[in-house]
Amino acid sequence: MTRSAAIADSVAPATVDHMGAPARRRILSKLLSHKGLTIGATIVSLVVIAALVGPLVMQGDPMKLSFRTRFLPPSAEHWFGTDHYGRDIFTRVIYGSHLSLAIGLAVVLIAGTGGTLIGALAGYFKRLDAILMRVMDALMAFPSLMLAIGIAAALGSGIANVVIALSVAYMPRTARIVRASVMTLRSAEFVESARVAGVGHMRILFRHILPNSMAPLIIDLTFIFAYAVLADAALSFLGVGPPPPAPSWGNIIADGRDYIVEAPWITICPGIVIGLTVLGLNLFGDGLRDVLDPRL
Amino acid sequence: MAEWTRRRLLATSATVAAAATLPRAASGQAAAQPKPGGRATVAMSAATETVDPHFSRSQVARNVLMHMCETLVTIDERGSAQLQLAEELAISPDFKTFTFRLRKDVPFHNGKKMTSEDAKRSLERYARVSPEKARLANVDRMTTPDASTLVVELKSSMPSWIELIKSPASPMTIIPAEECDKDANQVRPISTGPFSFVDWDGVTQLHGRRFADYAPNKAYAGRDGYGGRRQAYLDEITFAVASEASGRVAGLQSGQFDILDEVPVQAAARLAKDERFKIYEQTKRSINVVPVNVQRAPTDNLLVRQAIQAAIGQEEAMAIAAEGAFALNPSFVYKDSEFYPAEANRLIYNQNDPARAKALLAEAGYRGEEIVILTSGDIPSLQEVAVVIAEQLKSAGMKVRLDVLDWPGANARRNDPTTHNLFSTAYAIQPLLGPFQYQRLFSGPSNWSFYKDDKAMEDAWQKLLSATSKEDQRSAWQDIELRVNNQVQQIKIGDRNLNQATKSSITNFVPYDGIRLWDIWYS
Amino acid sequence: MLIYVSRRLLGAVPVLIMVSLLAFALIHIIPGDAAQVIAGPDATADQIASIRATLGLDRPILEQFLVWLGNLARFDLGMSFMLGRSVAQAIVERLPVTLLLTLYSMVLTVPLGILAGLIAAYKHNRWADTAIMTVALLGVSLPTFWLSIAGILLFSVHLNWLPSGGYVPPTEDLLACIRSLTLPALALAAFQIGLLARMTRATTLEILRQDYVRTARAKGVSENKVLGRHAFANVLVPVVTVIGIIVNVALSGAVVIEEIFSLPGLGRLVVQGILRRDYPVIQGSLLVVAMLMVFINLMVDLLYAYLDPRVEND
Repeated sequence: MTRSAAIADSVAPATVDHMGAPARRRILSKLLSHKGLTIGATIVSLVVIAALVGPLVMQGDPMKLSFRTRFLPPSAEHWFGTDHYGRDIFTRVIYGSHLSLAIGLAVVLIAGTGGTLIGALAGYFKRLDAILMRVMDALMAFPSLMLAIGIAAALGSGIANVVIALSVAYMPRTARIVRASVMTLRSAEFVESARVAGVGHMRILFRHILPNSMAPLIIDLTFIFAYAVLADAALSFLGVGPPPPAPSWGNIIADGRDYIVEAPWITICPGIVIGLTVLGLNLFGDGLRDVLDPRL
Repeated sequence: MAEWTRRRLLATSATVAAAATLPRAASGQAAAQPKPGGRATVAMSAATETVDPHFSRSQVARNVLMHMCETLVTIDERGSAQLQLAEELAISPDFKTFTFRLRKDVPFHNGKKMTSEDAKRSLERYARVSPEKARLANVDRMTTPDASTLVVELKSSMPSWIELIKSPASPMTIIPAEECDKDANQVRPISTGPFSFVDWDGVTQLHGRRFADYAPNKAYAGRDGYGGRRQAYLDEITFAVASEASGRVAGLQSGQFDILDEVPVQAAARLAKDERFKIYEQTKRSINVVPVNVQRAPTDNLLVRQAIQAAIGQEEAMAIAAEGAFALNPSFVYKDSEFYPAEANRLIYNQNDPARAKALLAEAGYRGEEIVILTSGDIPSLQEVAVVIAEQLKSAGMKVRLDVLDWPGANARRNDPTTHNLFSTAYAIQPLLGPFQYQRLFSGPSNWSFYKDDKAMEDAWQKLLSATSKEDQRSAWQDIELRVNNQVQQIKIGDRNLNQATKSSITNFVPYDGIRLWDIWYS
Repeated sequence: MLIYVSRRLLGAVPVLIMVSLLAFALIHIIPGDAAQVIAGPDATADQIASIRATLGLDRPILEQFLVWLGNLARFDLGMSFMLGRSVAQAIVERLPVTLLLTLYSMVLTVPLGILAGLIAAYKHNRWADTAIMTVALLGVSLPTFWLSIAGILLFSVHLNWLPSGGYVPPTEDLLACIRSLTLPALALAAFQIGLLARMTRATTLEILRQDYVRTARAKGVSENKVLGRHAFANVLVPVVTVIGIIVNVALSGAVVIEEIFSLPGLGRLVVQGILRRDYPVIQGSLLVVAMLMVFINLMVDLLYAYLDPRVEND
């Protein structure tokens, strides 16, 4: 109990931020040798590259429409065919990956940061716990998509509003995870000793406890990324997603919903791309969990 | 006293009825004997917002309620006024006193016979609860000298009053007097129509049943618009909501539905190849329009508005938004309307001329100010028109942003001139009913272009409203259309047709404003 | 146990009040109101104002909320603006559809998900594991609405086996009811089966690695017995927790599924309520959904406490 904070750090549980170089290398090699994780990472990187590089190298315009090129089936010229505006679906899917990934990433960042803050404060300060978690419980009492629809409808159309809606919908989840980790660590020995050494609450919380409770959060954020991509598509499908003609994946599928029999490619091709991306994210998250979560 | 009698109405409706029967005779079904019985389920894309006829006003509501409801005056195939529950209407020369003589022995669905008291109380309730109660704002008093006479006295002369009360949008339905004390939205459609209301689950299913004691209007030869001689043959009717078009089509193929509203063109082409189904093109569904906000920059500048008018290619917009099922028409009324402007060719329309648009923009000193197009994603064709014209404006060098909301959200924002420049929307009943329904869209303090004063326009409306002959009305309406067009206050996009489909065994179906399940039967 | 239950139920009250407040605040931010919807797009300000007065929407928002809360205390959820019936009646009519759909998908999910997870764990790292986990992964990766559309395309349009939408109450025709819910339930179950199989596999693997199972194995207890007797009971604990999550997922998914398949359920009631600004309906159904979720979470925790007595003292 009389050890200094510096010593306390060295006896912290083995997590990423407190490991020496050899341990880090061991984890890295574990990560690299994990088959699912490698596949997942490859898929995700391909989508990310397509999203970043695609718009730069592609000739087509995702908004270019013409009633002469409507409903063309997939061909060498139009890989995924064209939609009812005569727009090239492949071009739209590539541009859409940009948008959908950006939305997913923004949701992860906002829900992650917000959830971490709320969860950390709630987990550390017992007085705040009751209020903060009641609000989180109230948000959790709505099915997440229902909540997102409500918020998106309230705020109106717009990419930023979709991000806000999904972030609010997923924030309680991250808050709970962080709160749970913080609560276990709050009474850990190294925290106690830091407290005795006179370290301030905020410093203890953000310098000592939080870095040690990141692993489950990081894993969960991968899944939130995946859910956000799916939910964004669902919101677009219900008409409260990013405003058209923005080529978000959900918009592309929503545009094709009335033509599934005559022009199934409008729906099927982007659906497969969404499925693949989410699959990649899930594989990646599974891999992270396998490697980082000490329980398995 | 100007007698607006049954005979005169018959004279006009006879020609229309003949026109309506033409395709029937051509397809050789005229000989088929109507056969009573059977049930039909109609798949619609949306649910009605209410079953209280006085409280309703949407197209979907009309689709359902016009089977149960009847009014003193209704509309014929072309949208002109026609007597329904009244057999005679006498209008005083000062256009202040309207005397309706009601048809006798017309029973309500509850068995009671309709009297003038019911008519009076219904109109009173309408004036209390209807969103369209303004139609009765000019009523001074109503009296019932006897059980079949209703006298309506107006506060001021109003030659076009019949044009207001004929509308089936929020129909001035006659319901039993004892129902008339109920609050808005509390009344079921108990009226005198050929079908009686059974139940509605509020979301997906509404049931009706043939009204055995229905009294058809013997003054007419056959079905005509919402009026004429109506006769129900089907025993039971159901209105089902299937919001996905693919779901409606699959439902028809599987036998779940018998009649489909709003069939996508592609699916219609496929269904047409199947002998089990028949496809109809409904030509009087709605028109796509774009009201232009003349208050907010940059569309406060007439030159910018003219540039927009020059840049828009209505044909491309309609080809995409209406799936090819459309008619180009610069006017705000349908081409067969009695009010169609004789000089419609003077209306600027379907230019698709980016070069001219650019020249106009340069003249206007346009420097890339953002043009916001407001629309609703709930109705795909509105959004599609917005998307297409956005691209057309962009290629003429304009900076455009789309603001897409759900329907109520878009309409709330439509009310606020600071939020948008263009609004992609549709008018459903107005082009069928004619000029008078446009009054508050085109003129007055709450006009949809947000102009503050436009004397030429207001004068033209005065001329229209005080006109007592068809000729004067037509000429006034033409002035209004030209003014809207050259000031670019509202841009007409096109007449949008829709496909409807039925099982082949359904006979004598003719598309109209709403689906009509009377005068059709299974062969 | 009784104390625990009552404490949990009491704890739900502030949550539900918060839920109502959130829902109330949310729906009043949405632009446009019911009066606007009823009056229609080309209504004048006067018309809208008069409808607003009829509906009581012209009163201050706080007053509206207090009135609503006051009625709630008398178990009165108010009247729908547009459905011509009380909100309670509308919910009672629609709840069975959503519950049936959820139940149907659960009936598909629980046995299939657990079985698939157990097989995958038992055949750890062999081809059956890989195959099952790939399918499970696909289940949680494909968008539900996309699967629904693909399902309609395949089973309704091409094969003509199942209806593409609509709902038949079980009281009317049980078989038709099952048929009408099969495609939606399958679409919903795809995600849930994937989720449950993955969770079951993970927990089973964890348990199989634990000491008592190793001991049992070392003692020569047959593999099936190890899996059956020792592991299965313990697997149930996390699985029960997952089912709580699955109900959440099912209710979320129902929003989309009911829309696509035109099912008159609670999810559609909420979405249509939002689209028409039918405030009492949104308020009431969100509250009921929240109560449902709270109740299910409570049941899950009770079951959890029953299976793992340590929880109660937590």
